[in-house]
Amino acid sequence: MEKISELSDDLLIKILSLIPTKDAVAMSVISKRWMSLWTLVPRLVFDDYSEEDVETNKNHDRSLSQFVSGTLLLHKAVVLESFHLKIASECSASEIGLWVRIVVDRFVRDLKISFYDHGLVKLPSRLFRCETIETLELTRVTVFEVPSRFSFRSLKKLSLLYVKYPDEESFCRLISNCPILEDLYVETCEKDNVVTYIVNVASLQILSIGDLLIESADEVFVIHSHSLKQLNINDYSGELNLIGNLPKLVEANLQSSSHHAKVLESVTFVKRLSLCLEEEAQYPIGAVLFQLLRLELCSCEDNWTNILVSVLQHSPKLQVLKLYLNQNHSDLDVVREVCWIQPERVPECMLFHLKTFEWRNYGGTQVEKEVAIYILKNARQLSTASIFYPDSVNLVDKLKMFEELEIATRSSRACELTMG
Amino acid sequence: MSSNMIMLKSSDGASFEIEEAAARKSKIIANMIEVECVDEDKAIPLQNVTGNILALVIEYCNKHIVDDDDDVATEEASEEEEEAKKKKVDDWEAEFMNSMSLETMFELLLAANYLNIKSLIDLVCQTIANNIKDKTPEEVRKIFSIENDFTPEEEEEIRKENAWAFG
Repeated sequence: MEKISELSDDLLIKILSLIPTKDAVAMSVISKRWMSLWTLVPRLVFDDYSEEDVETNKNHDRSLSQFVSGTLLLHKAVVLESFHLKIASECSASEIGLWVRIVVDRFVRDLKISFYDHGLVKLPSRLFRCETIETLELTRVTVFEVPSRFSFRSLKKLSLLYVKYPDEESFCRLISNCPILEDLYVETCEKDNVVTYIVNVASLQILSIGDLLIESADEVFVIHSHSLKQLNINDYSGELNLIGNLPKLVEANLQSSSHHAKVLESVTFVKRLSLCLEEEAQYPIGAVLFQLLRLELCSCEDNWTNILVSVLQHSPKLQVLKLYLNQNHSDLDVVREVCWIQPERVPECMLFHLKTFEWRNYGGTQVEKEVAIYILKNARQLSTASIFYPDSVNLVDKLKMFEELEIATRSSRACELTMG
Repeated sequence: MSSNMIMLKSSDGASFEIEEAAARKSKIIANMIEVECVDEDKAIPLQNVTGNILALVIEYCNKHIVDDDDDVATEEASEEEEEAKKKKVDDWEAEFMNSMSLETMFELLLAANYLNIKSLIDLVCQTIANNIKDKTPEEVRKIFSIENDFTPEEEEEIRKENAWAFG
């Protein structure tokens, strides 16, 4: 195999930049040609731990600090596109600050710092003046200080995951000094020194929030961003305060967010909606989703059929309906008390617009069967209908469940029913 | 969509017909078309690409024609189709790369680089990277048949010098 020797250094460097930096350095013993190739890779990735380690509480004893310092000392690429640092071992706040300074001087565009366990970082003032950075992600970082004046002029995507701030004001300052920020993701955590998260970023298009780890109900997100196109609320149990309507919002994903059904009042312009609401959730009276084309609904809570009926009745243009069961959300052993009361009149969307119907993790309970039959019988414009069963169901049962639906709706269905 | 056909000729003399839209995936060919140095009756000679590799390149390009003048996806159902289409292309790419020997992969990378097809360069590089991830340098040397031009003393030296990285 001679061909690899014909590849240019640029191509070999590109390949080396796609493997972890530790492996790229190790490849220097391959041959004389490969000896210094790693010093020119545009991406440096230091993975001291994996997310599985966090879950299993694995211990770490390698010395990351020496490795990162050594790499940066010997590294020669003028432009460093990406610098990803996942820290599990001892690294001092000032040391990390120093590394960040070096990569900022190398025109870094994509910077990620994450800790296995919360760690303090002294972000250098130079970072806050960095004109090249486009993506910044901090995970379990304790930010020491946020300067009073700065500008992330090129920053488009900012992720602040379980970050601790010096004070509430700092959070606000951090996200407000990004004039072209489009995508913001915030996961809150305990003792992060913020109660009211004010999101007032005019350019913002995608906002994702969550508080998976704490579920503290005393937090408030105040959202002023009127250019939002997509709002994702994942396992967030605090308050949500939307200031004004969100006229440009196209997509909303509300996942197990206890009392946020009222958010639907503010998102009546959405085209795509994904819902998994807690049991007490009520569809807000009078909210009509004029533009809604696609609904995804999780069936893990007992009231899902009520939400389904409400949304069907209030979204006259709905074209795509996807039902699914998120198995992480539900306790399968609990006896479910779901009942299905079909609407008095067939909703308008089912008569004129609903084209695609899909059901994932269809379990074949009495209620599920009734809902599926109702939709298959009444959606006059259906062009595709598919049912997918959980992996745990054996083929014989799958076929049996499928046949039940197939036969019950055969005479009135507008399209073929397929088994996924 | 314009269905202009273009002829390509490999280094070993094989001719291939390809839609202009697909050929434009190659920046080199796209440039040739822009400056009008493509004669409709004559094949474009590609001196660095053999027929069997060119066939793969063309297969790739045909799968990745961008439907420029398709109706803009306004309806949700067509967005579903887009998603399904993307998944299909991803699956196709995985299968395409899976069926290839390393030797062919390198040749394909050289061709993609020569023809300047960025997405194909990215795809092949990523596949090669996946192949060497978690491998020791000795294994990589063996897989790629790279000649070790270090003397044992030199290699030992390098390993010692690299101790900072693996200590």
